Amino acid sequence: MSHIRSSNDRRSSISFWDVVTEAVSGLTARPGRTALTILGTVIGLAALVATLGISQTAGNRIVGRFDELAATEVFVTARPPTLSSPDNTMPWDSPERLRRLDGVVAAGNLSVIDLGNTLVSTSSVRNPTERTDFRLSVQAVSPGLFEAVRARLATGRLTDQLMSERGEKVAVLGATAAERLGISGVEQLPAIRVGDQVFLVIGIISDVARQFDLLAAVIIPEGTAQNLYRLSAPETVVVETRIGATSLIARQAPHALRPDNPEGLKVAFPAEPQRVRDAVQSDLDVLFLLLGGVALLVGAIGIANVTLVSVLERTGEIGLRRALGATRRHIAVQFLIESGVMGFIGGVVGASLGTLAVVAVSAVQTWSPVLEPMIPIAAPLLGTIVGLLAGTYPSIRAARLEPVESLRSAT
Amino acid sequence: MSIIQLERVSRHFGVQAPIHALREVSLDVESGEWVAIVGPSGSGKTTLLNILGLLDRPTSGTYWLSDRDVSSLSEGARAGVRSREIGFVFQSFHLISHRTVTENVMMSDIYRGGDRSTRRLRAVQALERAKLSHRSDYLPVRLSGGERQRAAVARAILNSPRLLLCDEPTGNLDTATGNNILDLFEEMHDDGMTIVMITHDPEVAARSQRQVHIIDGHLTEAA
Ligand SMILES: Nc1ncnc2c1ncn2[C@@H]1O[C@H](COP(=O)(O)OP(=O)(O)OP(=O)(O)O)[C@@H](O)[C@H]1O
Ligand SMILES: [Mg+2]
Repeated sequence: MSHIRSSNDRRSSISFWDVVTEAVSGLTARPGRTALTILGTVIGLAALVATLGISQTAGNRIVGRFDELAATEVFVTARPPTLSSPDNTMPWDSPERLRRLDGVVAAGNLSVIDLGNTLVSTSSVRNPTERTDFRLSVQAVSPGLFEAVRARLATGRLTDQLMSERGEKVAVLGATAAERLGISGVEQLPAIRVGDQVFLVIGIISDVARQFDLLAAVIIPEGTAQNLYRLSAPETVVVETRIGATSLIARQAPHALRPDNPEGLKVAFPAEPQRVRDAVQSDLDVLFLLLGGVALLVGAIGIANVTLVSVLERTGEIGLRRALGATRRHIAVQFLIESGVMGFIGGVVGASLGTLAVVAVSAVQTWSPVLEPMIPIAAPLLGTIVGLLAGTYPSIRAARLEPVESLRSAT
Repeated sequence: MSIIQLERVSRHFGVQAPIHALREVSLDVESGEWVAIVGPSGSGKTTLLNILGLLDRPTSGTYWLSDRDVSSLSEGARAGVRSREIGFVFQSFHLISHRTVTENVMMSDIYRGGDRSTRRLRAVQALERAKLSHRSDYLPVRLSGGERQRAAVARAILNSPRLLLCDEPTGNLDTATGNNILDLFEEMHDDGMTIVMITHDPEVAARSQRQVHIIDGHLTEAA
């Protein structure tokens, strides 16, 4: 049996189990009061555990829903020319240069052609009763763009390198544009008129994964745009990377495209999932952790207060214990254990309630609950520490009582 | 062989205009003696008993308990002496209200690190000696005054201390009940226990073997 004091047998000593038994019996003597005292700590720790658990669960959820596409896209554009850097253009072979980088899956140029008030219409028959000309965006692309935006072909074919090199007047329509123009297939070799130029529609795309305005656009080969509209340089390079490679590619791209003037290019890529989650979590956490912390503080004050009251009430008992041979240390340890046990129980109950809350919220939201296993384990530990800290001052007060005075003052 | 030897022990309270609760008290108590300390209220009886019980230290003078100078012992060692060698019986019982009689009696064993396995048995035996076995599972609130004091006596004698110190043990009891407690003391005295008992009641004091009077902090042997 271990003794708190055993080095000098002339001193009084109490076994570990006796001191714990005495402390616990002090608590069970007033079960209602003990339960109420613990309540604050329970609420505080339940709030902390629930907050951490729910935000972890929600954070996991946000990551799960986080558009995987956003994690794989990079856009490179030229900055507007300045006096110090007048030539910020991107080269025509940007897609080829980028595809050489490890981590790039696809890349393509995309340039919006400014046609002023020029309208687009189906060239063939003009129906005077119906409006047949529309203001549609015309976008010039390099062949790789379709892959970079994950375009899905509904019918026909896409423009290719040869068409671009020859400057052929061919166009691919986005699904919305095709619908407005009344074109549903390419078997009839439909043609459209853009201003005074006529283009043969060779394909219709039904969907893209990014750059959704392509669906409402007339898409023509880059080479054709150079000839007809004097497009001098690509406006944007759309890059699809492997997952997790965006920041790396974003750093490398300007050097690959313009080793002589990398600062002239601007790279845009969405924040990576980890950082998105961190941001969301810290927003959620700060508020609720603050609430939990305040509740815990209130709980600690509650334990301190009640332990102090109990010391004052039990002055006679303390005097008796001193007469029976208790040292100041024995008295202090007993009250410390009492408050520590209250904190521990508060931690256990709080962690259980908090975990239940996480499970309940997850069930309502049909999320899968996520809770770091350390959190419910750490809660009783934190509760014990809170209880011990709260009990420190009352314990010192109890230990300082003079036996003669305490025996005299009480019944 | 003397168990208590006080040599010119004084106890003053306060610094400016100190109260002289004890003035150069010298007292020898032989092992096995039953001594009554008699005196009016405020004369210094409790102060003397607190010093004898190592709950208080004299301002000056020396206290030899079982032939060792306990005035110079550390607080921890004095607590150890209290736990092993001294039993207390107070006028107001000092029982813990939420514990049964047996549990109250067992309490005097914990600070001497007594054997847990035999503790309850020893408490039962002490309650037998105090003639309270039939109330061993009661809570103190359900006991009469005399029964409460019997419980306190059982607690005091659990470890067979050499010295039993009693401050007005019959002060809260009627004469008949008080006499029962004194009968108990007489039995323990016959068994060889040293008893020092405070009282202001001459009839109670008359039950003891020897009386000392204390007036205004001065101790005098009764004729
Ligand atoms: N802690 C203290 N501080 C100041 N004065 C004290 C203290 N303890 C006792 N006294 C004083 O010392 C004197 C003796 O007190 P003590 O308690 O020993 O008296 P007593 O003989 O036990 O009286 P009673 O029969 O009423 O219990 C009293 O005048 C008392 O006021
Ligand atoms: Mg007194």
